[in-house]
Amino acid sequence: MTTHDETARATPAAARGGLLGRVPPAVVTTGLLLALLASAVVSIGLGPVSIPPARVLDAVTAHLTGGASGIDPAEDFIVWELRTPRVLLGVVVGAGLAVAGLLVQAMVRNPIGDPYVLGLSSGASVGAVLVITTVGTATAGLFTLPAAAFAGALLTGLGVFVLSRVRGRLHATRLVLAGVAVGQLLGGLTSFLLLRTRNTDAQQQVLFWMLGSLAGARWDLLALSGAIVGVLLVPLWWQANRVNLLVLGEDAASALGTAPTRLRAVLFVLTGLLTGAVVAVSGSIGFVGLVVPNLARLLFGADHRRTLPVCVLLGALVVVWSDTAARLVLAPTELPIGILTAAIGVPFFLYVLRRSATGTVGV
Amino acid sequence: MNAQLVVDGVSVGHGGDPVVHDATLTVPDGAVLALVGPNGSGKSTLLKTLYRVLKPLRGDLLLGADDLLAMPHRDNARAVGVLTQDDAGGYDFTAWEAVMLGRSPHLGTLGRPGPADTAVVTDALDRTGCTAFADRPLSQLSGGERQRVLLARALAQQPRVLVLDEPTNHLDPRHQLGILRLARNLRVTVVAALHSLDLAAQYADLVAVLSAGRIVAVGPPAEVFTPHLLEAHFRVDGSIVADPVTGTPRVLLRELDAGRAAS
Repeated sequence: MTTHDETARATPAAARGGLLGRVPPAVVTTGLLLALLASAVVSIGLGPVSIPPARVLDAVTAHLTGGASGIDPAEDFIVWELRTPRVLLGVVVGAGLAVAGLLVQAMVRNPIGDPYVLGLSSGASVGAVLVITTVGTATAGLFTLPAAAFAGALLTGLGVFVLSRVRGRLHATRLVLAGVAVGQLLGGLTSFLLLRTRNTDAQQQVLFWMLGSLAGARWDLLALSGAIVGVLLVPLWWQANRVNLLVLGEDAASALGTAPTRLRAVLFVLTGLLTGAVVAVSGSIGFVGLVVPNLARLLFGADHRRTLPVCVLLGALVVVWSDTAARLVLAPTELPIGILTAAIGVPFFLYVLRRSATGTVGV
Repeated sequence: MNAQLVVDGVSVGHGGDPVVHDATLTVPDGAVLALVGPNGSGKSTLLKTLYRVLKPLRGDLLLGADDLLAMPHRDNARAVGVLTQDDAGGYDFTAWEAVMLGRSPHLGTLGRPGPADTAVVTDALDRTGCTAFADRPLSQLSGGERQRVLLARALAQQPRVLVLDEPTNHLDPRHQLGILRLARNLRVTVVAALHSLDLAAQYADLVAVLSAGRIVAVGPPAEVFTPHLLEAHFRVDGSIVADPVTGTPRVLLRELDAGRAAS
C-alpha cells in the first residue's frame, strides 16, 4: 500500500504525460513563441535578396510604430509588402491546420485523422479548381478563388455531417467513413475538371493549389484569414477539457457531463470554418494537420489544454520553415509547400515516433 | 443530502423499441444494489439512463428530492459518478490526468482545475491503490490497473450515487473483492451491474434481477436467490449456502442436469 507521504509528493508535474511533459507549460509556450518570432525574422530575411535580421527588425519596427527605418526603400518593400505577409500567412495556416488536425483526431478518436479525413480539403479543391479551369484566375476577382474554396469546404462539411448522422447521433466511425467517401468522390471530380481543361497554365495552377502555396500572400487576404482563425481559436481553447472527454468515448463523456454528439457537432462546425479559412488562402497543404498534433501529443501528452497551444505554435513553426525552404531550395523557382511539409514533417515525426518510450500513438 | 435512488416505471431502448420494460426499484440512501441478469437482459441499457447516454421512453428517475431527468447534464454528472465499461479511449492520458477528468463537471467555464481538485484526485488515487502508477499513461497499465483508475475517476466526481457497470471486469480475485469492499465503504448509494451472483450475494444489500428486460425480483440476496429463480432466469442449478467463515450468503452454481451428467 502507498502511504499518504508518498501521495503528497506525487506532484502533478510528474503526472503529466509525454516525453517532455515535465517541462512547465509556461516554459514550453514561451520557448515556442520565442522560436517562432526568431524564425519569422530570419525567414523574412532569406530569399533572392538576403537581408540581415537586424535590418528586418528595423523595417518591421518602423512600420509598426509609424517611424522611419532609414533602410533602402526597395529592401523595405521586399520586407514589408512581400515577405512579412507571407511569413505571417505561414503562421496562420500552420496554426489553423495543426489545430484542425488535433480536433478531427479527437472527433473521430483516431490519430490518423486530419482535415482531409472529413473531406474538407477535397471540397475546397473542387471550389478552387472550378474557378481556375472555368473562369481563370486572370479574369476572376482577387477574392473569387478563396471564396469558392471556402464555400467548397463548408458545403462538403455540411454534406459529410448530414450523411454521418444516424437517429440524431454523430458517431466517430461514421464520420470518418462518410468523410473519406465524400473526399474520394470530390477527388475524382477534381481530377475530371483538371483533365478536361486544355489550358496547361491552368493545370500548373491546379497542381500548385493542390500541393499548397503561400505565394499569393497579401495583407488583405492575410487579415481576413488571420481574423477568422484567431476568433475561432478562442472558443476552441475554452472547449479544450471537453475535447478531452470526447476522446474517452461516448459513455464516459456523457458520464462526465458532456453530450458527445452535441460537442462533436460544435467542433465539426468550428473545424470546418477553420479549415475553410486556411485552405482558401493556401491550397491544400498536406501533413501538417496529421503530423503536428501527433508530435504535440508525443512530446506533451494527451491533455488538449496543453496540446492546443502547442499545436498553434508548432504548426506555425513547421509551415514557416517549410515555406522558407520552398522558396529557397530551387530558387528562383518556387516549389509547392506540400512537398516540403512532407519532406520535413514526416521524417522528423517518424524519428520522434521511434524514440518515444511506448511506441504507441493514440488520441 | 438524501441520496435515495428511485427508478420508477422506466422503459428504455436504443431505438423506438424498449429493451427494458417498466423497471421499478428503490435503492435506499447509502445502500448497495447489485443489478444481475443473463447476458442481453438489459443491465447496461438500464444503467445508461442514469448518466444520460439513453433517455427513457417512459418513467422517472429520482435522486432524493431531485428529478435526474430534469437537471442539466452537468449537474447529473455531479450527482452520478460512473465506472463505465472500459472503451479503449484516451490511453495517452496518465492515470493522474484520467482521474482529473472526473473533476470535469465541477470545473468552471474554462475547464481549469484548482488546488481543491488536485486534493480530490490525490485522495481518489490513494483510496483505489493507484498512487504508485499515477504518472504512467493508461496504455502502459494492465487491464486491472486501468479498471481501478476508472473507479478513481468515478470517485473524483464526488457523486451521491455511484454507478458501476461490470466493475470486476479484468480484475484478479483480490481486486474483485477489494473494489466491491471499497464501494461498500464509501457510504454513497451504489448501483452495480454484476455478472457474478456470488459476489452480488456477498457485497450487496439488495439485488435486482433483470431477465429479458423486466425486473423479476428485488430484495436481499438471501431472499431473492432461490434455486427456482436461478433455474428459471439464469438456466443454472444453484444452492445458497452460508459462508463458513463470514456467514454471508454464497451462491454455488452448477450446470442444469450436472448431477446426472456426473453419474
